Amino acid sequence: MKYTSYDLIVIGSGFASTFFLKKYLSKAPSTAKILVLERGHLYPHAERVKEKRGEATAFASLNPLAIDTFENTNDSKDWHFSIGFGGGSNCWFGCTPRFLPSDFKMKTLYGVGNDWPVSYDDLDPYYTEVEDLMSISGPADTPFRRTKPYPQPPHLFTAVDKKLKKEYGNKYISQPTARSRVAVNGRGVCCASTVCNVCPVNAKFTIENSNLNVYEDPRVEIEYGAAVYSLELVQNMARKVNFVKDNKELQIGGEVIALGTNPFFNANILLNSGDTNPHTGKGVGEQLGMQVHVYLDDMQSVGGSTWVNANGYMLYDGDHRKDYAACLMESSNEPFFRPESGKWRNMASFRMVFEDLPDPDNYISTTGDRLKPKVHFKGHSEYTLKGVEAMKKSLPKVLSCLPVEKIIYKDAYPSEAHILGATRMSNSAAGGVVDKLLIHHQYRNLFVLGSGSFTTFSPANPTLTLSALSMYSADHAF
Amino acid sequence: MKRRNFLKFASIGAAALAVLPGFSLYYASSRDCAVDLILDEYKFLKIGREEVVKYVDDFYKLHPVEESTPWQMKIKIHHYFNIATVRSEMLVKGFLLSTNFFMNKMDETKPVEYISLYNPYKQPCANPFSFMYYPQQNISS
Repeated sequence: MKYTSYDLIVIGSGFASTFFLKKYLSKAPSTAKILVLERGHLYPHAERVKEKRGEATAFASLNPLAIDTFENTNDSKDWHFSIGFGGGSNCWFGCTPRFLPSDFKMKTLYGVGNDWPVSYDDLDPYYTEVEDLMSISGPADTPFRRTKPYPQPPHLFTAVDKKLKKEYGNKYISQPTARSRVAVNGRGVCCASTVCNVCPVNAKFTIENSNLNVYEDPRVEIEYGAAVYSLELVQNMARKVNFVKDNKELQIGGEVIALGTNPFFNANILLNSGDTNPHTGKGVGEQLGMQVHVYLDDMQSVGGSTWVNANGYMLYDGDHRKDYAACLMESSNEPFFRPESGKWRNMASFRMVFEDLPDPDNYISTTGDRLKPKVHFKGHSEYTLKGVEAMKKSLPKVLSCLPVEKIIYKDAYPSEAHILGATRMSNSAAGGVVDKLLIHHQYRNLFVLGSGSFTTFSPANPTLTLSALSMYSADHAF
Repeated sequence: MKRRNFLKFASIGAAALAVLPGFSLYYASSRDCAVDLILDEYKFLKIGREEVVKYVDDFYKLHPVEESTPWQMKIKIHHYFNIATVRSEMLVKGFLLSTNFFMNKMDETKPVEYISLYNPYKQPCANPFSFMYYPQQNISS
């Protein structure tokens, strides 16, 4: 490290950290000193593809496996994430729908959960900015308000999608996505390989291919292999960051500190530091997802141009959310088929994603290993499970415009790869950990970024919203 | 036949019926079972056994599961008891994706030939149902 203290120290280099830094750098003076502490290392995309092809690469063992970095108390629940430079951008699938305005007002509109301290309108310009920076592909007509067209044209529908679009208008749309429809910034064009965690043609936005010039900025210094485990908290301020690098105990001071790791580790660092906010670590969760196969008579599902061709909002918003969870439909374009003569692709497949509400019985605690949080998850809420049953009753009617032969409901997935909650946002310390700018209610120079701040768990994918929140936070705080 | 003899022969027969599949389950090669499983799944298609053998050889090179006892048991049990192949989907579904069947637009009258293992990292853009093989102008709702 070049200096003994920094103006800003950011922990982690995923979406939350990177978009926070992007906005911060646009406002900071040329003399600003910024340190990024990243637990892992850069594992370049080209090397990841080599590994997937079965070829040897020295990079493969650089970063720890996610499963080795935390204790899971629930064998039936998985949690998927990625350690290393770029964080979750190295394993996400690039789905970027916005939240609906109602997602921010669950208490007011439906009497469940809590309202977010920020509104859709607060975030709208930052949604637009992130969509431009990620060069998102999306349609003109959406169920959420937009002030500007998406930077890339929409992906193409299958025959089934076209039929549903005709029936439901702007409740059935080409999915807004960071999987390119046209080549941009060195990214290829998505061609529906459907293995998006590592895109074979580098069409998906990642921090590595972002061209955001954050980590190349001369004001920014990045330390790889720096595993942060706690902060020094003194008189309601975060003064120093404690970490291990190359088996050495290190400490560095910062005027402002931003935690940008995932909710498990943000909570673990706060708990290790002695944060006594009763909500810290509480209410961790994610959405529930399940696949539904729909067998069709005399109709083929062919012609889509990406992994998830479309989003369906037919079961999402409405008064039913007073009683049970919203459901977002994702139309899959994987190479699935029926092993039946003459009916090979007479089939559609939808991932049904249900919202959830934070529950204090699902929480993070510390362990004897200061780098290793323990995750306690007893299960999804009744609210969510009722949503699943309601979907099963409603889906035949929703799909009645299609020649449906049979609907097959698969078991729920063990993970949606979206860790949410544990440091949630609220108007005061009585209701959560951070305020609307993602600043800790007690430690006013400490930002706790990312999807841990989500007050409720919309069925929409979280990455776009957490990135927009980071930009909103940095824009208003500096 | 006296009742005692009848009971004796019936018992021997029943024991043989119970034991012999167990022996064949134990001694059969999981590779042969895998080939049979695929041929049986797609018995209404024109597939030569040699095409499936080539595929299974390549499959085991990429997925070194052949010696795994749980894998062997799964393949053998699915084969012998004619269980729906959902759990062997990677093997069974992967075969058809690794052939010319979808390139031939699922024409069941044409012989199915193995090309190479379906691997999006070795052959990107090979999703046979995508817009690259079904242009939009031909897609109607």
